[in-house]
Amino acid sequence: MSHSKKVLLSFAVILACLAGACAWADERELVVYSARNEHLIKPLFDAYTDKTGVRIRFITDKEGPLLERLKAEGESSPADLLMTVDAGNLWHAAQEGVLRPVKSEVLEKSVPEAYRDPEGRWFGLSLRARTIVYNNRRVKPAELSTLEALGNPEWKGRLCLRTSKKVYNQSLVAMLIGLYGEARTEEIVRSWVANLAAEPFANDDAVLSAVAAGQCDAGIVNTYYYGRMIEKTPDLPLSLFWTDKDSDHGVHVNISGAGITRFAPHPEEALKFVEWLVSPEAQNKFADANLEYPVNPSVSPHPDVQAWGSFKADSLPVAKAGEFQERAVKLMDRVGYK
Amino acid sequence: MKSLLPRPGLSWSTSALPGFVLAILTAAPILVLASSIFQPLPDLWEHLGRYVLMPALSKTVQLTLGVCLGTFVIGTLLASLTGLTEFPGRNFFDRALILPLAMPAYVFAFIYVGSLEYSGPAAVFLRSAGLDLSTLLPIRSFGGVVAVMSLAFYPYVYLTVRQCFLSQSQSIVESARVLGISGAGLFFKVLLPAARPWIAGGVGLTAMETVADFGTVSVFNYDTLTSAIYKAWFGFFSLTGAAQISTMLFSGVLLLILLEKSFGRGARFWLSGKKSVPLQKIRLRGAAAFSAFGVCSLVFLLGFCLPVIQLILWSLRHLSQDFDSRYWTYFGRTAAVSASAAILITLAGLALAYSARRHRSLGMRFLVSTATLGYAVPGAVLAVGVVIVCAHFDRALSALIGGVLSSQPLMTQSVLLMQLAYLVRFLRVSFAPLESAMERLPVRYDETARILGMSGKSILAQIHIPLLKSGLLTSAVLVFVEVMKELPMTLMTRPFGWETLAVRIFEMTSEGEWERAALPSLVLVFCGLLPLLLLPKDRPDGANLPEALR
Repeated sequence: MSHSKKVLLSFAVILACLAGACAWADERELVVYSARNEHLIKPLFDAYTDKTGVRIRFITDKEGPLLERLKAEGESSPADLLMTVDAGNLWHAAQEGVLRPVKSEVLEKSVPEAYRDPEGRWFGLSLRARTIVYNNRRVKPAELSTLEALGNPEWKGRLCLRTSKKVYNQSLVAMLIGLYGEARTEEIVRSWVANLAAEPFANDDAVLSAVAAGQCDAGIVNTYYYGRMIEKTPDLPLSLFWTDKDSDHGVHVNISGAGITRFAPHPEEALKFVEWLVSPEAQNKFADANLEYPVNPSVSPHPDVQAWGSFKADSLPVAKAGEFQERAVKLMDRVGYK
Repeated sequence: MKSLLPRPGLSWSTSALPGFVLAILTAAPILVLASSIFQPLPDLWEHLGRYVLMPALSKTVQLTLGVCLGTFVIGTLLASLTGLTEFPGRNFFDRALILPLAMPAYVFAFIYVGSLEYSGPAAVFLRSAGLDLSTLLPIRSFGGVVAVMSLAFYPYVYLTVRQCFLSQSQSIVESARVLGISGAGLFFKVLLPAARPWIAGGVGLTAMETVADFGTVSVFNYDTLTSAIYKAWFGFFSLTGAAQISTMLFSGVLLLILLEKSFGRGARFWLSGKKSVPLQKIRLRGAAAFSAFGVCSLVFLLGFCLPVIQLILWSLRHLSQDFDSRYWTYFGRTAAVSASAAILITLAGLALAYSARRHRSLGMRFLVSTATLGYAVPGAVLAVGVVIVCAHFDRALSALIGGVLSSQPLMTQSVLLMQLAYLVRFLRVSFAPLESAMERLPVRYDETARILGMSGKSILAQIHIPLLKSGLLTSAVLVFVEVMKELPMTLMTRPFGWETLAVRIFEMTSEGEWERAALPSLVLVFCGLLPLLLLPKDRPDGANLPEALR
């Protein structure tokens, strides 16, 4: 055999191996880009792999970078699934065209309409309620009613908020725009800012600590932060208040969710996986890991979470959070909410 | 004398070529970001201009000036004490004062804000004693950010100035004495001015780190231009807008670098080259020795001991839940990635510094400064620039070799890409100490060597490198700890399932579990202790310079 033939042959062998390896690797594998933490998703991935044999490879990062990465990779992206927290991010990913629409009876049945994209490009997997937390030594529940009411004069110097740069607050204000319109929302947010006891905090934990320490009397937080803190230090004087009682509107909820990518190499596998994630079997694992609420109404939350009482969630589709986010951020800049 | 050197910008030598190619490579992602200015966004800028930019710009300028001043004072003072004087504990502090570098600045911020804020344990304790810390000394304030960032960043200045004093020779003192300068005058009129390139290098690094910082200022909710960048990106979903504000930011930095270079060129300080006798340290006694010890202890306590104790306390709470054998992998990976990046980027910095020395044209200066701007760009934004460049490269490559490998991108998600990303981000960190060290090498060496018929390559290998030893080590140590702490580039470019200690910290903090982030932070600090063993001892550079050049 001549030298060049040898080279050709070995090249062919290598190619065949590569092709074989690709085909083999392609068979039962999923690639996930996730903005949800490793320790919240890994147990589910492992459970799914044990059950089905499908190997799941994943990478975690913030939503923004993950989205840009998907866009830069384009058709050659290895990602099948984009998982994020916050509906605004999913809405934006869909706008940017990196997610594909899917039809699935299972998903449509298990995920209420408000918590998924009307075109089926993303679906909620768990719910995160954002409501009032108060210092139960200094405030009686009767003093509380709605989020808007925290802007009333009697709350002057008693309110603590997290920074407006956090997407949870951006979504909250966007949803208020959806409910009350921009002018009314601007009044509400302005009145909150006027009532602040301290400069906005960097995170929900700091808000909780400030309320517990008596620096202020009430704040607005995601309930799982409250749950986590109470779990660690049960004797803190903190209680949750649901804002649906005296309001025409329900409690503000956001989602963490997922969408199948436009160029997913394994779209069918990805869909099966998302369908499994909303099944009763997976829902508790998914939500309980972070003391969140299952998106599937037929599944009850963790007992500790149930103990905080039940509430009516607002019916405004969470997609509005994305749609109005830009307006919300501008509004908060205008009223000087930092 | 200068006539024997190659004419500025005219003659090219092959030994300067690697630096040139490198500069173009690392400038690419920065130019990609800069190209955003061709897509005007009038609505966004109208809003930003009205409500966001002016306050953010003024806060950025104030913060940068404050932190530069803080790190200059702390860093130079400490380096002078440990480098020029002798007092009890000096040996220990000489190295120990570098340790705060091993802790990410945002971890510092979290610890200090967490404990000094109204609800923090220290504040609660003091309030029970009748002392209201939150009104007396509010931590979430301009003073608080400056203090914490100065404490986190002073080691850049300390390390570079320390390297200057280490390589300074006693003859400068003797010459000064002959001229009748001694005591404080010796320090302020001779040693300190001679350290100017080093101080500028260290403070420059601090300034760039400060303007690019997002993690630390966000703990304080102190809105700088970086906050505006993230607001444009995450709030308004406009990466273009974010890239535009970034471009504004690093153009300003570029301008400052070029100005500093033009103004600073008058004064040049060279190694005397006669006999390299290390500086004789002044022995402090009595109150002076006590004060020196006190100052060093205080900084060490605030910058290292107290934060580490806090980390240990938090780690213990979650140890059983979080600590397992995976931490060995995290540790090993962190050390391996940081070490290889340290070697790669230090060599790259050397090549660049050498090219800059050989070609002192404005064009070269501009290219070098642009190539090292990555340090002044917020990491996540720069990471996008890198990924865009690599995706283009991938596409071009797969078009070239046919669709064979199209399903498997070559560049994305590989360790190679990570290293390239670090190079783009941290080239400045290795370049700055080497540039100042090279600036002090007398041109006479190059000339003499050239007359002796040495090639450019062997001048670099046999003369520059031995003389730059402490500069090389300093830059390797700096790059090691920087890469070790780096987050956004790592997150974006790492292979699947690739976790390092910094990634662990991210996993915990991104959902607000700061206390659980203490364990990886603590292990990170231990990892940062490794390279400190490498730091140059008190021995001047050039002790083994070829006889002919002495």
